[in-house]
Parts: sequence; structure tokens; C-alpha cells
Amino acid sequence: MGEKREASPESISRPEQTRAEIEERIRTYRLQARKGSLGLILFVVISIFAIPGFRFLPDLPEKARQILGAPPKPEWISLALVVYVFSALILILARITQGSGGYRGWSHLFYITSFYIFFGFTEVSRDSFWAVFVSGLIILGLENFAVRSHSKEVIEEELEKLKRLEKARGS
Amino acid sequence: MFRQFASKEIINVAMVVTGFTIVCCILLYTFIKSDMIEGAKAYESTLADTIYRSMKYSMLKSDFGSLEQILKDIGDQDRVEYARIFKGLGEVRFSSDESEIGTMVAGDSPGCAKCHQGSEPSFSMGSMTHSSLYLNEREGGTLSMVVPIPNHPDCSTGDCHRYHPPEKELLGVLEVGVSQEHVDHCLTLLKWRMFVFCVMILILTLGGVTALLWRNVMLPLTQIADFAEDRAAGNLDREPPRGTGDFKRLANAIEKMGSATRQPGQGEENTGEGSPDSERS
Repeated sequence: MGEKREASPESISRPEQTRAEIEERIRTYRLQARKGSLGLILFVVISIFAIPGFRFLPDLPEKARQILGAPPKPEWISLALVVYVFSALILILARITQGSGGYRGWSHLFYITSFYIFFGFTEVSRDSFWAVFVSGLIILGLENFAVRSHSKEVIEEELEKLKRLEKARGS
Repeated sequence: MFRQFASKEIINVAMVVTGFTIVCCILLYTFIKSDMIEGAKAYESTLADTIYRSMKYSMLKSDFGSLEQILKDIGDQDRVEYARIFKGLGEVRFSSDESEIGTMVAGDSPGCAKCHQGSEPSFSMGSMTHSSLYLNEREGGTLSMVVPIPNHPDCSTGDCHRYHPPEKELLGVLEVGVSQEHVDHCLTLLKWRMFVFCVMILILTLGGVTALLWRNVMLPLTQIADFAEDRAAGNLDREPPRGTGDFKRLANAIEKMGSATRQPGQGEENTGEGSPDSERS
């Protein structure tokens, strides 16, 4: 019979290191999953400020209006909104199909806010507010759904690895 | 497994299709609403112009009875809420509603603002170009048109009519109010129709995707899973499920794996009881 080989410190710490890495990844993905909800909440807050008639922010000064010039026609802004929503949905679906993670909702939040500002300058009816609001809900809702599904899948895989690691340590 | 599939695939598709449809419906509603309001404004503008032209002769001939009758007949029309002429200071002189005669109009309504922005009122000889259209919330949300009646040369120089001195620039103001009930009713109907349309799209999307997923993915997968389990349990006689494309490949591969496992076992079975080789050993 050969000599009993004593376990080296390095070989004991390797499973611990792997476990720590897995747990760190799980924490990262859990945080990522929360970004979707944060994006939606921020969007709702911005929408409250954008409600026609709720003048939380002061009106633009006349001089600033002269510098900016005449606003675009509401029809052009509506057309731009339709094209933007269509493109955004296609891009999000493509990312879902590829399975690529990461939350890209912050840029959409910026674009939707821009549409609120454009419609605000043209002073169109309350109906345009609802069009932008529903667009934002759909796009940010889909982004939230995508990031949560992806994070959930990865977390489940990591938990599976953790379970196997525990089993191997136990045996 | 279907619920996992459903939550990822069906919800995505339903959100995208239905959401995009809702956004387009809202924008379409906005466009239709503004077109209908423009149509209502055009109708009111024509009506006010017609009244103004009809009244002009009666006023030139000082035929106030005829003028009152014109306003009364116009006021009796279905969608016309009121038609009145008031003097420059705001006293109602003629009206479709006799009880208004002698009363003062409200000076702070949006219709007055166009000409009364500064300390002095502004107007010119072009009546219709200086008319103003506004939503009169005070009088039940009617669309009101205010048309100034200027002092034409005929009004102060004719033999029959020297009532108005030439220095008086404004003789009065015509105000016509048309009910927006019909427009509001049409818009409400349109809103409900679009809502029903969106609900139908949602149901069709959910139902269609569910049916297609179930038929083309879940059912073949379940059949192949059952077939693989049977093979694993040792039942090698079951026929593979029918399918196309990748499902067929998968079923054939599982069948071949089962056959490959059987062949080495067949050699051992031949050396079992009753076989010629077993007697030799």
C-alpha cells in the first residue's frame, strides 16, 4: 500500500474558491434582474411628471423657444414613435432569441423621455401621452422580462453547479 | 414544461404584437380625433359664414324681425346650441333664445381673447379672417365661433340706412355654438371598437401561438420523451413516433441507440438455455 497522500492546502481551497465564484455570479445576476424593475419604476415616475396639465416643471422661457425654433409637426413625431417602437421591439426579440444577457433599458428610458419632451413642446392632446406611456410600458416591460428570464436561467445553472459541488464534497 | 415554454415564448409574442397594436391604435385614434375636430370646425365656419351673409341684407334693410327669425330657425337645428348677436360692449341684442336678450356675455371666455388681448380691441374689415373658434366649456363643451361684424360703407352711407355712424368700426359680434355631442359620441364608439379589436388581437395571438407551440413542439417532444423512456425501460418493440425534421432525426437516433444496445445482448441470448453453444460448454 502506498503512503497516504495528505490533502494540500491548495486542493482544499479550490472547491471553496469555486463556490465563492459561483455565489458571486449568482449575486451579480440577481442584481441584474432587479435593474428591469428599477427601469420600469423610473419610467412610471417620469410619466407622472409628463402628464398633460401636471406642470411640475416650469415652462420653457420664450427666448429658449426662439432659439430652438418651431417644434416638429405632431404627425411626424407620431410616425417617429411608431418606427422607434417597431425597431426597439425587433431588437429586443433578437436579443432574446440569441440569449444574450445584460439590461439595455436605460437607452430606451432616454428615448421615451425625449418623446414626452417633443409632444410636450407641440402641446398636443392627452391621447399622445397615452401612446408614449403604453410604448414605454411595452418596451421596458419586455426588457425587464428578458433580463429576468435570462438571469433566472443562469442562476438555475449556477445553483445546479453548486449542488454538484456540494455532492462531490460530501462524497 | 409547457408552462415554462409558455411563460417565455407566448408572453413575449403576446406583449410585442398586442402592445404594438395598442400603440398604433392610440395614435390612429389621435389622428382621427383631430380630423373629426377639423371637420367640425370647417362645418361651423361655413355655418357662421352663411348666417353672416344671410343677416347682412336683413340688417341693411333694418328688418329686425327677419333677423330674429333667422337666428331662431338656426338655433332650432339639431346640433346648433345657440346663435346670438351682441353689441361691442357685450350686451346680447339678438338671440335664438329670447331669454338671453339684454344679458351680458362673459368677457373672459377664450373666444374674446383673440381680439381683446391688449387694452384696445383689434379687428379689421375681414370678418371671417378674424373669427375665432374655441371650445366653450362654460356652455356645455360646445364649439363656438365668434365673428366680428364690421361697419361696411353700405352700413353707414345708404339712403335707407344711416343708423351707424362711419366712425363706429364694429357693429356687433355674431356668436354661434355647435354641440360636440355627435363628435364625442363617434369618438367614444371608435375608442370602444379599437379596444375590442386589441382584445381580439391579444386572444388570437395568445391562442394562435399556444396552439402552434403545442401542436408543433410540445406534442412531438412528449411523444419522443415517452419513446425514449420506453427504450430505456427495455421495451424495444415500440415503433418510433412519426415526425418531421429534427424530431424525426431525434426519434431515429434513439431507435438506433436502442438497436445498438440490443445487438451485443443478442449474442449473449444465443448462448443461453437451449442454444447449441450452451450444450458445448
